[in-house]
Amino acid sequence: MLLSLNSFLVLGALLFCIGLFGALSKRNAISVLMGIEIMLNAVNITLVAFSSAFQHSAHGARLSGQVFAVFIITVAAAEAAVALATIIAIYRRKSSVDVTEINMMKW
Amino acid sequence: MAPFVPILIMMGLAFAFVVLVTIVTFILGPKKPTPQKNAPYECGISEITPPQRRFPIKYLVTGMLFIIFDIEAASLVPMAVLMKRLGVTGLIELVTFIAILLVAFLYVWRKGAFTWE
Amino acid sequence: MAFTYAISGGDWARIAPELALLVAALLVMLVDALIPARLRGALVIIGVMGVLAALAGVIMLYASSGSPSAFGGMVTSDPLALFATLVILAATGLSLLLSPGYIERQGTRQQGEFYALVMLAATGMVLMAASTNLMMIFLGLELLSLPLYVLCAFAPGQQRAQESGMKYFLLSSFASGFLLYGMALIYGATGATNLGGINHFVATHAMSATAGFGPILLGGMALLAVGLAFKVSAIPFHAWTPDVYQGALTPVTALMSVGTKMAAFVALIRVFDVALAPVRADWQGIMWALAILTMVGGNILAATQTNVKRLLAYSSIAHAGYLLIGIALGTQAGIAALLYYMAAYAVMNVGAFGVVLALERVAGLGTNLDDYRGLASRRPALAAALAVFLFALAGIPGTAGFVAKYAIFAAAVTGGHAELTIIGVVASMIGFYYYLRVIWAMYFVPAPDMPAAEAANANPHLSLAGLNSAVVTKLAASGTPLAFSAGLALALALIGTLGLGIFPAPLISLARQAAGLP
Repeated sequence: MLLSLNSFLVLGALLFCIGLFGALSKRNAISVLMGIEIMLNAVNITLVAFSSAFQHSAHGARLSGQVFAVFIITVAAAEAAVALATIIAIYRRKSSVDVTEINMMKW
Repeated sequence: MAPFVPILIMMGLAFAFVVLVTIVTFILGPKKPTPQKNAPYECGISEITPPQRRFPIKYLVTGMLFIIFDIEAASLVPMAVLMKRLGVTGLIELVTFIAILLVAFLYVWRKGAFTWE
Repeated sequence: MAFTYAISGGDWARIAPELALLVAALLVMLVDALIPARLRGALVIIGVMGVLAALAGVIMLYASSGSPSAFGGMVTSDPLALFATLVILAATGLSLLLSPGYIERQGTRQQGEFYALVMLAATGMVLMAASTNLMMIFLGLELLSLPLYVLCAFAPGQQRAQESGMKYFLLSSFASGFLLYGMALIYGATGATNLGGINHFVATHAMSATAGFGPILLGGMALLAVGLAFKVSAIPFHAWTPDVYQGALTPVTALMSVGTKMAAFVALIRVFDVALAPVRADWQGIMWALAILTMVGGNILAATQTNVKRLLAYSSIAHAGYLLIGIALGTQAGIAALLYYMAAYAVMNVGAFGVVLALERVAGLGTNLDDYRGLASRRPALAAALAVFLFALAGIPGTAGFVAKYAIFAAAVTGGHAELTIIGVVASMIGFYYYLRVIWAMYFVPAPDMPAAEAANANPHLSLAGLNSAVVTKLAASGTPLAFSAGLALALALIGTLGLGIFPAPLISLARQAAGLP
């Protein structure tokens, strides 16, 4: 073991917080999307780190994390495609992808 | 920590390279600014719309479809690794998966998403 | 450990409802690609047939014996999953019936896409309700969310709809991030993603909040609770709900208000009330607080609304609060009450949205409270139907809503949380106010005397919406006739609302069976 499990968990947590900050602070919809993708990838790191820590446990415990990560990668791509399509549809109409300007409905 | 020293050195080198290239082009590049050169083209009316305006990309739909179909390959990797042990049932499941993708493919094809301008 | 792979035809039979819905979705897409554009409206028939086939699958599974678990413990067809499937199928079927005519009126030309996405969302909802593994819960959730993102933004050229889709996407995928991080931490703490394994680990290991796996599990539980609370739109994670529900096409709103809630509540039951039952003391407080905040906050916020669609969105938040009581109790009686409540909510809420849909004109016009003035004299049948649905939502005796509220409040008292009942009843009193306000407007406030055409021209929203004169003329004919299928859906919802209120026994016994009670 080169690095302890904790190092990877801290990396995952930091990355999650970076993504969280990006998703909350950015005004550009694409940047928000990127923040969310970073959050998902932080989860992937955490899952794979745990999976690696379970390498001496039963089959199921070890592989679940890796399979989960593959599913997340797949779903994240589908999400990105849907999001980009929506953002383009809004851009064509408003010539802007600023999330603070998407505000027709309030209260 | 020792095994990661090469990676750190590599990262440092990559960063140094970027900085170096930027500085070198800045120094070596010919610069002869004149007021005419800095002004807007010919007549001097300032631009009405921002000059770095984004323009529509024709292959947007193709690109999005590529993302989706491409990443599905990630789902196939675990199956491919275990294909021998999964046996006939596994093969049927794989074919079902591909068939579902094929329906989607036929749909976008018939809807003309692949038509190039 | 030797790798064994044993999937048989029996496993596939266990997911028959999901398969039926998926095949219907694929068929809609295939047929849509082949037939001429003018016939696309008929694709709803394939969708309705898919729902009926899924219903047959549920009945088959109710009759079948043997272990309900399938695919190595990934999914199950236990009574809880089957009950949830019934509720989701009811919502899907009614939403499909409400769509023809309405979505064309909103300018949609791609009906095939619409119906295929509805069927895919329904597949995801059913799959999520049947999942017994964190991975499958996530996949089901995404399979229901992705089509709904598109469906919310579906109305072509309507800015509200695009805004609704965008907001739903951003906030929902944001919540998915929390949910996934919670799942990853729970996996790390317990070494399992299947709920049985998590339950086994938690039951056999003493947990300390400061050492060992304790902190990771607690963090995971908190994040998972946040993620699922987003999906059931519990306060303070409700901010997306009103905007998304208002902007989306009304059949989509009806489907997501019921289907998503049902699926997410089953996930909450399976994760918290079943798998994490041994550490109930650590999560019960969160659910308790969420339930109170959501009940009180949802009702208070709803009382200030002037748009009926938005009012129903806030009312849906309030109902999520009553439903959360069932989770917070953690008793089987609480779960049974929650399930019955959800079934009742499905018919009365889809019915209410159905009437809103019948009165709605293009671009979300005609959904303000003012537009409902004097409705009883203009469209007496629709006004009466809406009155019944709103009385049911308020919980008037004789309707499904009363039995549901009674069941959940009674379960709270017997479960030792009488304070939840008291707060719930007080919150329902606020609820009476805004439901009755709509009924008051329909029956006791005269319609504006302006002729309809003038009213349409005087409406400042029209110029904002940039509508041309043809549309204005269309708007002036304020009464669009009710499509046959929409009338059928409203009749079915009405029968359900009154039937479940007068003869609740069969469904209550089904709900009790689903909760594991005799």
